[in-house]
Amino acid sequence: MNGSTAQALAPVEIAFEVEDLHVHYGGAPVLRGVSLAVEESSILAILGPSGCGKSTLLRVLNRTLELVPDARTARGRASFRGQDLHDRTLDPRLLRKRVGLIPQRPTAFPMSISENVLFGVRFHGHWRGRRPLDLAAEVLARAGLLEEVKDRLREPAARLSVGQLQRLCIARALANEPEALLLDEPSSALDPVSTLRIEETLRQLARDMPIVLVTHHVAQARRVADGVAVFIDGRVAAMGTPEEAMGPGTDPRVLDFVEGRSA
Amino acid sequence: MRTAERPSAAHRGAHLADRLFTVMAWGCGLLGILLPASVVAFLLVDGTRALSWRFLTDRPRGFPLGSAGGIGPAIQGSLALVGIGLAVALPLALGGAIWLSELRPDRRSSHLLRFLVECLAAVPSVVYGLFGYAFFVVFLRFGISLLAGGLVLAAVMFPILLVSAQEALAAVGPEVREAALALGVDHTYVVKRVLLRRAWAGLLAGVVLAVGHAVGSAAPILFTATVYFRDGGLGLREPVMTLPTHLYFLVAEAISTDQAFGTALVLVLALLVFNAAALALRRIGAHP
Amino acid sequence: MHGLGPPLSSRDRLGWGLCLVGATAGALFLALTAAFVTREAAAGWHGIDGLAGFLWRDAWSPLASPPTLGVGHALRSTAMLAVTSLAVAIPLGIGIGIFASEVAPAPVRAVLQPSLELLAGIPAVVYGFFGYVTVVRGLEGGFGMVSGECLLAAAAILALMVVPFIASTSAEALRAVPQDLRDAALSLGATRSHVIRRVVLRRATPGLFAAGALGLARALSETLAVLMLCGNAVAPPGSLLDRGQPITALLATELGESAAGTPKYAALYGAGLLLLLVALSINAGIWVLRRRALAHAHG
Ligand SMILES: Nc1ncnc2c1ncn2[C@@H]1O[C@H](COP(=O)(O)OP(=O)(O)OP(=O)(O)O)[C@@H](O)[C@H]1O
Ligand SMILES: [Mg+2]
Repeated sequence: MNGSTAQALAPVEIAFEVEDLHVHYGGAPVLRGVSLAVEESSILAILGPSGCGKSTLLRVLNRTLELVPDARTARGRASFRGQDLHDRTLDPRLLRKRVGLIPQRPTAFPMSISENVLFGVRFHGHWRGRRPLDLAAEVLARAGLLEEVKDRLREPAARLSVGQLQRLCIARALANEPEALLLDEPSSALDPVSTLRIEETLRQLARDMPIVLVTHHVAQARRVADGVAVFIDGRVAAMGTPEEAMGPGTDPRVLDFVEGRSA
Repeated sequence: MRTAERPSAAHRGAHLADRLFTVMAWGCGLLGILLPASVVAFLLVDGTRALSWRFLTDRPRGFPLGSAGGIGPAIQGSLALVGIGLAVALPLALGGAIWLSELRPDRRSSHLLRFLVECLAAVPSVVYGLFGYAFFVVFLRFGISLLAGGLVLAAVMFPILLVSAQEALAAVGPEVREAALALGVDHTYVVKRVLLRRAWAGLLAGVVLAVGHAVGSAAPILFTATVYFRDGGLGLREPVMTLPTHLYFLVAEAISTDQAFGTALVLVLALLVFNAAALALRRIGAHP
Repeated sequence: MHGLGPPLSSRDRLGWGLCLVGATAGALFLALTAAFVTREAAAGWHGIDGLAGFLWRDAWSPLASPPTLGVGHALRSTAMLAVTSLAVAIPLGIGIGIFASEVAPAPVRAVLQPSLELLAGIPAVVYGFFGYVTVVRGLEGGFGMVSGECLLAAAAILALMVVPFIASTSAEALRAVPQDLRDAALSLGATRSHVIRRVVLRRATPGLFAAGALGLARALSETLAVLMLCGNAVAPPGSLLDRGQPITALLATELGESAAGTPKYAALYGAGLLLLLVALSINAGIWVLRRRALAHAHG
């Protein structure tokens, strides 16, 4: 069950599979029949107008949707490596550790920078002999934040800027040693250099894990993604390689969206 | 309307009404500031004379007893009573607040329980006294004692603590919970490491307010915990002296106005400290 | 609202169990209070001449033979106190509420708010003492009354005590009125006072009633301050300048001197039960009014 077994030569393996998924908030339908697949060791970018249900799909994939009191999966299936995500016997803690989610709103927990990074490790206990500060530093380096904070690992994380916080959240998820990563607009507050650094990290990570990246930037999708899904109104309007999904031959609504015309 | 050269009569009337309204509102508002200020100033002027280190630590003396000496045992007794009340009420209120705000927000059952908590806050304090006397003092045979009074004060503090803790927890944004749980940790961990720490200032503000209220309340402990005079140590099954009841006896038995001024001032100063602390804590809570 | 969702581990389930104890502790305590007060009232009720005798026909003379145990004088005192103090406190309190929410500039509000909290927080005994050295002494000195302790003195202090509660509740109700409503009316050229009187106050009516009801509840259940100022006489008061003995003062005066299980004890608990029921009904009313006020504001 380890996704890191390289499969360059093997036939395409599917990590996440979503079939005809319908999700309601209260009575209002948000996802209205979403079907898509995320391949192992690849990055799928999800694009779409605000409010079309991108974050909702990520919530389904790491089972945080059940935290929203009136959210309901009305129909459809979602699975991760063959494991049904709606299975009641599945322990959400384990799934959430395996499938890391970096939420849209970056959040500092009320503790030091290093403790923020180690938040999940202290719970799950996967130290494997590493010292806390070393582990924190290593993960922060991977998220591209270490240089800026290495002298103040013990200071409260609340003092970080929004862009730094976004990278802290990525580090927090990486420290959990996930097998897959879901990122909800992880670079919305970052300057171009930091954005490129994050994208570089994602490309590296994608060598051995599937990544779903929600983004508002068509260019970012073209830069990093192996596949693109464009959501319109709770449905997948176009899917494929970046060229297929956002190229000239695609759904006209998608073209309007990509080129910034209002629908 | 601004260009009209001559305001019509109706217009002038409206303008006058506006003026009058503003004046009356300012009048009420200034009263709202001046009334508390003058009560405190009044007590300050005559109370500071009685105030001294000796007054705070010595036992009541003189004849009639209490006309001289100090209020040491009353301070001790009040602190002990409130301490016991807090020790009982705080864990319960915190648990209740966590349950209401984290496990069942927005459900019928939590609305009902919250309503009952507010009912508890609405029980007249003298009825707590009646209940405490019948239940703790007589039925459970605690006698008039620190224990009985402390438990009654726990009931007085419980709703204040619960409501403020619930508000403090609700002020922590939902994204914090989501971000924490998304890492695969359990509730206990999130509550202990994130929610309680994030809400600490608001929680502490509630504690300060509840303590401030309990220290000054006399009716619930008048028949359950207090005697006019007692000196020498505290015991759970022994009665105590307290600040508010001491003040009451000094006035009701016409023992000494000076001593009463001193005691009242101590109560008000304590309140001022508590309120200032709560204010500061709430500021911190609002911008963590 | 956003919670933590269903429990995730066995220690979560244990924790929630413990928390549920806390959540139900209030209900439990309330039930216990009601039960024990009722029980004590019922135990010696046989010595009381029926509900009519208790509530208005009989005088309070526990030492007469045969003793009569009526609380009519106390109900009358309580009513006179409540009406008089609220006649002052409701207009003043709502006035302060209007000032705080509609008129006051931010720095003034920043002073007003803690001042009201201070006023609300001063212990009742301190108010009693304050009233004693100001109002009671004033009535004795300035007006030559033999004893300044009377219902009027108690009502004056009681008004002062309930004002902050009325003020903060009405300010809350007024603030809940949506801003666009005011803006719409103002843009039509109405003056500010007109908008407040005709639009804001009307919209906030349920909340203002809740404020008044809260004041009433506080006035009815206030104990120590009125006990120290009302004069504590068992004769039914004729005017505000007479001494009186509201329910709470009756309870505080007599409980220490009555043996458990006697008719007098039962009468006191009966009066306490009455007070409890009234207070709880008012609270239920406030709950309904407040929810309506908030629903109105958002809807
Ligand atoms: N807790 C909730 N309760 C009710 N409706 C919700 C809730 N959360 C989201 N919604 C609604 O569901 C829809 C989809 O929300 P979602 O957060 O998935 O959108 P999104 O595609 O991520 O948008 P954005 O790009 O702005 O982040 C929106 O219309 C939103 O208003
Ligand atoms: Mg989103």
